[in-house]
Amino acid sequence: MIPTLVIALREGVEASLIVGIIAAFLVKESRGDALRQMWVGVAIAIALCIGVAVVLRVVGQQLPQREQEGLETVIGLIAVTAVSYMIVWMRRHARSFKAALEGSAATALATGSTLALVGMAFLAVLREGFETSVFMLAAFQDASDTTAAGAGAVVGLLTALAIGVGIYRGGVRINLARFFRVTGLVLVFVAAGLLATSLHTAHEAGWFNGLQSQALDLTWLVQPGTISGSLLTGMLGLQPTPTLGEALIYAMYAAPMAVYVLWPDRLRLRRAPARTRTAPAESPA
Amino acid sequence: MNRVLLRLPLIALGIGLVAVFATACGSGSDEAPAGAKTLSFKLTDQGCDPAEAKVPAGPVSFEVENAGTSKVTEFEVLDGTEILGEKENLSSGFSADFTLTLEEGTYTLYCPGGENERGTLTVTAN
Repeated sequence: MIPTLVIALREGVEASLIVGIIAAFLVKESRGDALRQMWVGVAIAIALCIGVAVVLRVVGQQLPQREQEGLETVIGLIAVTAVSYMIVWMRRHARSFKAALEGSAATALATGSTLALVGMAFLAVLREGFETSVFMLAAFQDASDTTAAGAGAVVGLLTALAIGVGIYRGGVRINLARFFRVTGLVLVFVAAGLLATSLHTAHEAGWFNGLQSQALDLTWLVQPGTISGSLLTGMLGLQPTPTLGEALIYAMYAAPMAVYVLWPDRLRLRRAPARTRTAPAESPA
Repeated sequence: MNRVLLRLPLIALGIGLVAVFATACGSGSDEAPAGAKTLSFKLTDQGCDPAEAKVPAGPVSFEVENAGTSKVTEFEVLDGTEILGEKENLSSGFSADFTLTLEEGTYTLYCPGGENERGTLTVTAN
């Protein structure tokens, strides 16, 4: 049961993490109206993936592996852009969260950005959905013990869904201004993981073959075949044996973005004039 | 604005259908041509079994089956660092196959997570 559970969990969490983050972000940034559109998109994506998996099985074909990896790479890079956008957006508006009431027009996302995030949720499901659906069908039909395998796969997927719901609920309740640095830092590591994973899938798609020597041995942390391992790989993009390229791209993204998130407010360069320079007769705005 | 938001699912459906077609067209290349040699591998805790294989140049069909390991779920054939073909998410009892046309040379069999992850595939001249 565990072998199929950990695979379904890892695949599922890679999608539910992004969807949960986007859902929470849409609600926080006063675009709850777009939430319904997001769920519609997610449902369509799920239906598509199940449909494709069933068709493939009926026709007796397998999922074209290279094309699947290519799709994961492209969507992974789009996801990195989306998460980076959220981090920067949160950073820019962290100060106005304190000043303005949540829900005011000043902090609301523009319609274009909202649609982009809704589209991102759809793509996030598609990215893992085909492989996951094919895997779920195989668990119920090909496995040596289909009852245990099928049950494990279902439990893994449901757990992934629960994690996504938990992220959504927690994200909605969290005070972004107060906890920006924490949530921002978590998102930095999520995005860095997505970037490293995209390089990994780019290699599997045959697009990138450089820097493939093993950089680190993380098998003590990311144990293949375990629940913790599947969560670390699915949510933070950590591989058991990351290549040089994956480690480099991870660090190159995480370091500057972490600095950006952690940079103290007082030291930030601002275009607004300092209040101390105004004449004493003027009262502050 | 509502109309714009309603069009999104339709756009999504359109993209999805394209994806389905791309997938369907792509999988046509999975067919093993007549006369292809077949190599069978099992995934075990040790890695690829067998870890050494020899086959004449030409189309080769790789049949992979997970023989009951939870550590190894992936099988790859590499030429240097380039992945020529692979199958992943092979849980206990799962099997999959793919076909490659190989020229004479030495290739790597890679079963990540096994005690002996890498094996050798020698392709001899015809």
